[in-house]
Amino acid sequence: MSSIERFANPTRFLKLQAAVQPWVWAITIALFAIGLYLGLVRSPTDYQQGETVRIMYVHVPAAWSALMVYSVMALASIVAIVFRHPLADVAARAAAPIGACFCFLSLATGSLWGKPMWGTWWVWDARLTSMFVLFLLYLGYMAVWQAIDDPRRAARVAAIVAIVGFINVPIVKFSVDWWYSLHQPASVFRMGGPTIHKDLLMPLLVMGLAYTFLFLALHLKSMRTEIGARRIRQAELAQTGAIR
Amino acid sequence: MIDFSADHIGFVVASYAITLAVLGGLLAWEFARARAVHRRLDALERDGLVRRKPGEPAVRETT
Repeated sequence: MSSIERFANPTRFLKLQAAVQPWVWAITIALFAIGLYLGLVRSPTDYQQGETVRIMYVHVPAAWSALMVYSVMALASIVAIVFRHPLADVAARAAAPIGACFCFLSLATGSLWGKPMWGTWWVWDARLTSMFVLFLLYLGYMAVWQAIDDPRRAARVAAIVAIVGFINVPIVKFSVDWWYSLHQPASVFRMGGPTIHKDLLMPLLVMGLAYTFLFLALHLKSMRTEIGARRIRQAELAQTGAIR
Repeated sequence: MIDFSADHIGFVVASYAITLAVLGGLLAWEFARARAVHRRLDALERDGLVRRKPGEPAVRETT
């Protein structure tokens, strides 16, 4: 039995989720505590940006997470369409609101960083615009689930939205290399290694890990809720005679 | 250590405040939704309309 098949059963997933969830919460809290301590207490200021460099510790992980969550959604959608894995569209749907929040945070904190550094809250350049498009894709994905009553049809349409929208993920990542942008080029995940000093890099990486575990914790919990919500819907439909 | 008298510190504080508000709101929404689903499942279970499979943990078991 492959690992995908092993966890295709929602009951088995729920057992696993119940076992790991407290540990994931504990690791998330610990990582945030360490990350915030390193970022707000231990890390030095930047010689050009001064204290505003500390915005990086909430802005960059939010942007990374927004891209990662959308990638998870797209992958889950492919699995849902190709393999008809019963948990795949649950996973994709459960991830969307979390990713939308990360994306919103990336845009909002980026704007708060842009005003003192660039002199403007917003410019319609490639990185900012593609990130805004990602936010709209999240909203569109969630709107599809709300707009279509039949869950199977909603799952199919939403999966197509997620997969087609994935084309925007590499555009966000490479926009700073492909087009002129006010936004700085990649300084952590790049060929040749990070260009950022280790005193600033360490808190950034810990906060990145903290956001990743926060996503994992929320996603596991949200998937459980979604499975419960589907069970309720089935029971209510059966009650009204829609399912025999 | 963060210097609260530095230039542009308001932007830093606002960034952390909005992050706290959005992530706190997301957590609250997620827990409220889980609680509502759990209550409804419990009600349906009492009415005999939903049956948990043997060995399956209750939806509420996680924190």
